[in-house]
Amino acid sequence: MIKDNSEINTLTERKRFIGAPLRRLTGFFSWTAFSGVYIFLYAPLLIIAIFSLNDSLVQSLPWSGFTTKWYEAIAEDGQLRSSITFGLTISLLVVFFSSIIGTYFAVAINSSTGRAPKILLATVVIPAIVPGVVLGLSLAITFRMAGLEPGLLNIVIGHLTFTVPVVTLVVLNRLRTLDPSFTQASMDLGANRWRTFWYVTFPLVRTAILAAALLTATLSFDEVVITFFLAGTQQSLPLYIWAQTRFGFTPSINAIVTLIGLISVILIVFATRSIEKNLESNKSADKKL
Amino acid sequence: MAKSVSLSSKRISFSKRLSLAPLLFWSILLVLTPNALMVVYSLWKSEDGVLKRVMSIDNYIEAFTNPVAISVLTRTIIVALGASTLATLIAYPTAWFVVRRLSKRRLLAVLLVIVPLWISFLIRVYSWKLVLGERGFINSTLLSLGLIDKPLTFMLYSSFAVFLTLTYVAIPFCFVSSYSALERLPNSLLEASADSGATPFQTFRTVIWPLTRQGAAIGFSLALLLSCGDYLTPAMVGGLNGTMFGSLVITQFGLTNNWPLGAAMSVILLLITAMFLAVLARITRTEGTLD
Repeated sequence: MIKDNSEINTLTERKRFIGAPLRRLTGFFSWTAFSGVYIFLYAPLLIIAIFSLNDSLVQSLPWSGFTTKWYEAIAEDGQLRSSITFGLTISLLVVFFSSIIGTYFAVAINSSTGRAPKILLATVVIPAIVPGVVLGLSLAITFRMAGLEPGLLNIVIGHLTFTVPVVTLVVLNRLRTLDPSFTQASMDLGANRWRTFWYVTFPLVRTAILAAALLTATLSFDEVVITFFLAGTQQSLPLYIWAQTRFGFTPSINAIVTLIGLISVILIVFATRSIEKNLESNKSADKKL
Repeated sequence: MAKSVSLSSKRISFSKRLSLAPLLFWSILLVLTPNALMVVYSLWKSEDGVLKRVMSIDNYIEAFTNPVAISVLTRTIIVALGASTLATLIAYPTAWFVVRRLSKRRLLAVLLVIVPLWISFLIRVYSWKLVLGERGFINSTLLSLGLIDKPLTFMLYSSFAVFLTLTYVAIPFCFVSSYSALERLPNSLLEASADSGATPFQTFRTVIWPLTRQGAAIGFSLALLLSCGDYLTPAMVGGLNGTMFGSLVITQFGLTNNWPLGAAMSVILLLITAMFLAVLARITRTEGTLD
């Protein structure tokens, strides 16, 4: 199909009186520019990885030898370890609650008609759109007036305000592609709404929830600004990295950052694979039905 | 009979309404209240760190007459618009190239642009510090090649660094939205245009752009949203000369401890971004649909 199109394209191009050498030249330039974009996107990230293996206290080239000591230093840094634990605690709580709340919101919106669900959806989404400083400050004001002390609870609620809409939108997107006759059939057969959700709807939106949970995990684990507004004395990992990269400096930051980057990429590749597989099996199940 | 049917359908609609109650509760508690409180706070005053609950618009007057605030606001708008424009100018043709020139490796090309989005924003911003710094990648390379005698210092801690970094982080957003518009463009339209004797430029101006500019605009809006209110980028690579409006808000929260002024600045930031997006949505409506 695509091949046919490209043949037609070259035919129509031949109709125009562009000389072949000129075309080759523009082709060369567009390939160069195209590769340039990818180099631009990845070079800075690779430089961190290179510096993380460089045996030098300062961040500079020339290369002064290969070392893994910056990676080894990670294990010895107690403050770093506690910030990782704290960051993971936040993310786990956020993923757990936002998956449940977001899925509930999506199902509730999808099964109601009229203007109310639309207005509510638009309102719930607001925190995911506004700049981090605005959301952070407005929440800090609210928590201060409610008398809540800065700390874990505030951070988790703060993160939920922007992760719940993400889950809601992803799950809602999937729900809208489903054939409503599935749930109708289930209800006609006498199942109540809860049983219908658990035995019919949930298995069909499971992958969407998984994808959303993954997205939520990274969003929450990487968040800096809102956490900054709501954190007490205990630092999450991004806050620790933030403080290190801005003020004091140890090359082991490059090592940590490289590790986090690698883990995120591996996680994503793994997740996309399993989600694709699941979607395919869903599709074949749809066909069988 | 008819009556009982309408009664039971009423009951269903009531229970459906009830299922929306948690959403209403959430919206009021975690969205509307914080924003309302922020507006109220912006009208109060802080005198030497003590909150005075008297209504006035002094904070807004302060934000619009303070020369520092004005110059930072102007810079924020210029840098954000510039970075979003450049990111769109890079991403749109790249997306076009991927759609038109690649077939087998198309998915891979798209994935490679999206992958950086999964890597922490903080890491991506930090990477530019290593590239542009006094002893960073560019400087040490130029030094060792003998092209310069001493490190170039204008690169890091400047508006330029903020501009470049924001462009960098915005490209994936612009790419994804441009790509999804360009991908749906049917080949037959382009062939028809070429067969009717249009030059490639004419085809672009009259066929391609009108049908895909909404996609480009969505990407541009996302980039603008991201760069207008960002705090991490100016704080990491901007230095004093690259301060942006988001940094001013945080300073009021932390260092200066003037929450009411910070709240007023947040409201201003919100209104400006909303205004930009409204204008953009208006001028980029497509002429016709693709599906």
